[in-house]
Amino acid sequence: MNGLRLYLRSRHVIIAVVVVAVINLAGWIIGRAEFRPNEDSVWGVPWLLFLPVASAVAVALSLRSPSDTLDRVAARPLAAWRGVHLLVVVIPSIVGTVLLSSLLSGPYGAVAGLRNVVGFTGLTLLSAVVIEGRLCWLAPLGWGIVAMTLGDPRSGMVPWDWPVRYDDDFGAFVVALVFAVAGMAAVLLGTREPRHEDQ
Amino acid sequence: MRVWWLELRRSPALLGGPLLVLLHGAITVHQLSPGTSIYLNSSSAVVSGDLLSGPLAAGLAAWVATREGRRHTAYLRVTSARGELAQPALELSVVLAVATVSYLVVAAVVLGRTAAGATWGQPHWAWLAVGWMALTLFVVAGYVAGRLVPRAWTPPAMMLCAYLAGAWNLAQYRRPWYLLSGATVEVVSVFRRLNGELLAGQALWYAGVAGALLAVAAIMLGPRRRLGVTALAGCTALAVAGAAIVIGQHNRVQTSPVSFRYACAGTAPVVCVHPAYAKGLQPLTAAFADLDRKLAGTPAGATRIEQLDSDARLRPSAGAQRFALDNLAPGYVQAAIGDFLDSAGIGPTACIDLGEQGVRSGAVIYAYMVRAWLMDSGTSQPVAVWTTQQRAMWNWFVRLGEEGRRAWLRDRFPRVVACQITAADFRTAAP
Repeated sequence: MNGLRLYLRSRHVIIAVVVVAVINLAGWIIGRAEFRPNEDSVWGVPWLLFLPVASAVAVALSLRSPSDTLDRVAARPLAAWRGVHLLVVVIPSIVGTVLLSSLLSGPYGAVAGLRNVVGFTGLTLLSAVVIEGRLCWLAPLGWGIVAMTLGDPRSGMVPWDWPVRYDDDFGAFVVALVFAVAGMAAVLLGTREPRHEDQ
Repeated sequence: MRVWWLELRRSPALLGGPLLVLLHGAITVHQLSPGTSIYLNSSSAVVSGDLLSGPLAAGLAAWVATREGRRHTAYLRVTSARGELAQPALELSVVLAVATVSYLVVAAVVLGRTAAGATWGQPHWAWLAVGWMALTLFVVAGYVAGRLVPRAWTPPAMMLCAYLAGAWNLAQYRRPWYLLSGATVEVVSVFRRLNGELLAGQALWYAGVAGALLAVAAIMLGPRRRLGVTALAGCTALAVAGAAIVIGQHNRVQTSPVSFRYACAGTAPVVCVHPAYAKGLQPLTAAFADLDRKLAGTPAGATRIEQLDSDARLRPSAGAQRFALDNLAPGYVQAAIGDFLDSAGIGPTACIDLGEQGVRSGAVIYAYMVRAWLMDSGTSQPVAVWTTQQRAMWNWFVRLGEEGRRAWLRDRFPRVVACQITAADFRTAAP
């Protein structure tokens, strides 16, 4: 029990859950507000669908170890701990986003919300493993702003802009799911941290 | 200089450089007018790239700025033989250099492609320089934020806030302060000149705000606070002056019409386009000659047709008629013919004043049929939403033959432009 308490404290898990809750509260305030790429645009993307980026970054930052070198030589395997930790912070994020996005009307709804929260979380975790733990925000934010600005939800092309596609876009959901599975599997081994930077 | 290169290798700038090029290039290519090679459009597209690369540059700069805080090495900077501001200046200069190189790479590629096909104009260096200053402002804002709040969440928060502010500002295009943002997307016309005063105001504003932010950071980090306060006051005054100029321009990105010599071809009618659109002249000439044969004998026949943009305040020369054309994307000839017919009052636009009544009486559909024939060979398929009766009318109109349709139009032209065509008009003439 002492180990669990120390783990929770070292990863700031409680703070991460609170941040996710605050982000969901912000989503409730945002409501149905839409982003339109230009004044003539016939479609808009609810800002709510962009919000999971913030939750995903909070989740990934909490998964970083404050003492990565020690973690890597520890006798106790930490993959299971990380897995449970991930579920504890991701589930509130998923539940909050799905509930909020189910209030949207039109072609966007709970499916798009679920797709974006799992997709962005997976992409953020991949970024934390491949690039660096503290730079976990680079890929999801970069991808997110490009998709929001240049994506077309009605496009029939490869769903590179999956965060803005409509609910019924199967390809977009598959892309998000691939990111989610790859990211969550990769992060069980720990995020990538610079050598000798245990702080 | 060796220290500068060491800093470049340590910072995430080498990773960020390609990303900056990618994001800036993505929106720049998206903003290029299809089918054309126009320097004004290219310059505008490069400047609008700041909408995506600016937030990323701000995030990267904030990341670099938080390094001292997360490694707890502030004592090294303070106790070093070098000035206390030397290290921050070094870090900032590296991020700024990477952002500048990425901006230059995109600008060089886009302007090089434009130069290969351009038939008019030259790059707008002043505008490109102002776009670079806006990018610089993003970098400085990100760096100062990272220095003042050296937390793990500062870089993503900075990037997110910078993007949200830019995206929100896009919807505020009617507000007088819209052009104070470092990330705007402008659609510009080759028929008007750029507003030099606006560019000067923006340059002052960006330089002033960036200078003020740096002064704040210097006051917080450096020993010479009095100098910092003086610099802050000076830069604030500069920013206020710039903001006053920008707001005073009332969002006028372009001002008076620019003088140029039309490129013309054809005889009946003479078709003239802006020299930047010279590649489209021959197809347009052929299409307008075809249309002229259909309109022969009606008041809509023209001897000279000039290209203008969609701004109704621009007038063609005396005796000429106009059409609007913004790009040379596939279908541009049809778009030009359609705009010419709209300005001549032929087609559904003639029925606008009738409102709902025009739709109920079918007058809009009949006007559409006439326009559909004028825009192509008259062999189009009936529109799916038409009723059986309307399809029969269209088939009758097609069976009239080319000469029959021309005679039909000559007889009914005043009623066509007045949107008074009825179902009876499609049954009276013999096929």
